[in-house]
Amino acid sequence: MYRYLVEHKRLLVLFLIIFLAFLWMTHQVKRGDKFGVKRLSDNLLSPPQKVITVLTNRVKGFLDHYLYLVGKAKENKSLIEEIEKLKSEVKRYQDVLEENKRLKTILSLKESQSAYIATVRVIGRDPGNWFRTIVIDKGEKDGLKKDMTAISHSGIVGRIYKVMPRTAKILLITDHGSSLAARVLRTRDEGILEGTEGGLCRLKYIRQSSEIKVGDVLLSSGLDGVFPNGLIIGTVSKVERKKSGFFQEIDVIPSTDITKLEEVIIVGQK
Amino acid sequence: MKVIAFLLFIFLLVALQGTLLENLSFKGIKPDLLFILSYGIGLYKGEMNGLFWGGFIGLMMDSSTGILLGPNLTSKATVGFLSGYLKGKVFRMTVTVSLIFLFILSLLDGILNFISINVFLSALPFLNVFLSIILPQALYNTLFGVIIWALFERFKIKDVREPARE
Repeated sequence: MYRYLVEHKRLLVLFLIIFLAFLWMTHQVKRGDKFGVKRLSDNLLSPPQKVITVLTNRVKGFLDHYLYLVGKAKENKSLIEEIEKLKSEVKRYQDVLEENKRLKTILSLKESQSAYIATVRVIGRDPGNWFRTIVIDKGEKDGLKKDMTAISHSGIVGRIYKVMPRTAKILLITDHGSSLAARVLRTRDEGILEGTEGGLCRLKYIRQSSEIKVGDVLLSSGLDGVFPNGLIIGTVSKVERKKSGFFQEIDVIPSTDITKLEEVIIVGQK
Repeated sequence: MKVIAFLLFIFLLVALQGTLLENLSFKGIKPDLLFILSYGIGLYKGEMNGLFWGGFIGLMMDSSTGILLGPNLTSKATVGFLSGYLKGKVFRMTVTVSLIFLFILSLLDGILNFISINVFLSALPFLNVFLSIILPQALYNTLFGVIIWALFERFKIKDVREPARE
């Protein structure tokens, strides 16, 4: 036995680490992170994340507006060049128009939300594929608190689950750990909206007898005490009524394209 | 000094994984460079280095997410260890064998993450998770493994075909 242990000591170290990690996870679930490891890496990661996001956006802009034109200019004659330039101008104006429209919506949203806290930029996302979270560029010092709601110009995005001095983390509504009280606008049915492993949402606890259809709009009901009442969540994309069971299975597509978030608004409870 | 430089490199890679790599995501799945790094460390530097650095990389990933410290620590440490361990068991580590290991260990990485999340956070249906996260991630990681391998070969950074000695 002793000889076997000596021969496989490296494998034993692996099992020991896995065992300790599971013990640590159990401890965290019961009592939270007492050692402050999460905070340590947040402070270290936020600055490079901000820099990389800014650089990436600049490089993208550069590639979109200049490189494309430069490449074409070399290939074509002056007339084609002129057309391309004009096309680019139009595209730029369209971009500006789109941005203007988006900002106007955000502004109107800001004015209509009595519990408006801040407009923030997305500077990072979860490094893995298991959680749907984003990092924003404002934190405790800007008045942000845990459980405040993040919205975009088209609907609910998620809620703040962690606040650092200068940054915060948002759990998106598509994360499998997220849930919020929702109401179907047309039928007034109430249920719980949860994220799914595939990055969409599912409305739960809706009775079989409810007349919900594809295309129905969902709003937050405010009954969870976290999300404000009356904010758009998304639309029903699939309704499945099973022969057995009490509830329907309803898939929901969020009204906000969660994968393309650049800026969001933080609001508190009204 | 080398260790500090490597620590900085890991921090930079964690930051990149949550920012720049997002542009490569397909249906919400992006390649996991940190998994490939853990795998590479085990492969080139042996199982104990793979275990230690893999665990550290996983811890950084977990703390970056900030929900639960442990799922990636466990999976990346295991991947780092097993890549080194399996290499010692294989007669000749060719590109194909290395990529097959990468695919299998990527599946294992996903399964270990799934177990941790299921036990400590929320109960998820395995088949859905396997089809929507674990399998696409493994395929994407393997594809990236091929690209990284090609870059190694192109720039001759190091002869990766040499077996690592403990």
